[in-house]
Amino acid sequence: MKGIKEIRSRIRAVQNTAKITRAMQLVASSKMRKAQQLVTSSRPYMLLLTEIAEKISQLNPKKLRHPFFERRDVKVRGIVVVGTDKGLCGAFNQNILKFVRTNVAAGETVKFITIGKKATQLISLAKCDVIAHFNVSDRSEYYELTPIVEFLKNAYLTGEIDSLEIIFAQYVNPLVQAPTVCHILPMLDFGNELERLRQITHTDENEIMDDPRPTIIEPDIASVVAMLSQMLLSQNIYRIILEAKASEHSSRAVAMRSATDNADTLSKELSLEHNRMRQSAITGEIIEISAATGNL
Amino acid sequence: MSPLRRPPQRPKNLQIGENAMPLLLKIVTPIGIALERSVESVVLPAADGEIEILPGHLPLVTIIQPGELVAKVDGPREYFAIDAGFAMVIRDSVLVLTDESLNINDDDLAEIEKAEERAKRALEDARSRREAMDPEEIRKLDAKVKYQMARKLAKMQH
Repeated sequence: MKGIKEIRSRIRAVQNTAKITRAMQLVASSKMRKAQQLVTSSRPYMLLLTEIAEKISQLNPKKLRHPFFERRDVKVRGIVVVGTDKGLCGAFNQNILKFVRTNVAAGETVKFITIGKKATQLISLAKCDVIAHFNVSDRSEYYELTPIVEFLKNAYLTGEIDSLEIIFAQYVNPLVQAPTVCHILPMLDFGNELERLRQITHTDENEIMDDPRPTIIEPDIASVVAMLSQMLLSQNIYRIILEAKASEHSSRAVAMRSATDNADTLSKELSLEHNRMRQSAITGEIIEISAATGNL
Repeated sequence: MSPLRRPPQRPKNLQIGENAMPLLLKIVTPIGIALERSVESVVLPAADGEIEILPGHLPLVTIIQPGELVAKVDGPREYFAIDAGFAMVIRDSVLVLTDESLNINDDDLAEIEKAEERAKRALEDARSRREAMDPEEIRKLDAKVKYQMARKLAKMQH
């Protein structure tokens, strides 16, 4: 049986922990809102970019000569795994790792690129081939992605990888973040993507642009395609990283919420025990005193 | 960028009704839709020089350079500084896709100069760094400087 003093100091410690986890929960949920807002506000941009890509690809599919748009035999799959830099976010990274395992068949050659320290640790522990790892801060500024995009582009163009997929946790609701795989390269079909984007941005049928007249391309199709492919690649990666960040923060907010709840329950139990011990000590003293007076 | 002189105001076009502006101009940036409104015509800083889009223009997809976009409306015309990107003209809609867009009318000259300074310094840093910088990166920084300069020029003119 512990003494009253020990219990008192434990109560204090537990309450302090609860304060910290509560603060972390608030921080995580505000960061989540910010990331989500960024995702939502970048949607019209993504939609227009995809519309332009679709327009160009409909025009002259034959002239669309760019390695990003051409199918090739996949000998080496390139998979980007987006995890977190810090822990304390529940089973977030483990779920992603599990998903990676189910997604990769035995005997396949896969090269991994990881984003986030925890993802790097887990993937290399699983004895997978990690060719590069990057970190993205919570502010997720666009320029932080430049080295990542450059690296992926070069790896793809030099043939180090033959496809580019990204595995990340898609935000579904505060409690559910579903690990998802998203195919980035080669970009073969803009139609599906366009449909998806139109659905989430609630674009009306009559807003959809179509013009039967021939389209002029300026200055020439090659430079438009070159610029377009670059922008599509970086925008896609940017969007996915923002979504992954939103999921991470929401997962952390939930984890911290339950940590706070646990700490509160624990501190209640402890103070109950503390009170009980104090009461029994008092009772003991009263018995002693009354016994002593009875003896007199 | 060639300095664009402000042409004399045209008399009001009487054939077009007050509310019937024939072109829809939409400027879209990664942080949202910067502008969506009806206009009479749009001047775009296209890759091969400035082009003016009037209603009934053929469908067009063009690369745009950092520069000045002029929206002509029935009244004061509006000037926007825009970054590099794309413009798509389709069915009397002008859709501009750019990384940044600012309405020059509510822009502050001192702030522009600061931003220009920052962009220039970043470019200098990149050039003076010992390890060879990626040429693509230099090109991007250069575009940023151009954008800020275009912003300043446009502001000083109007």
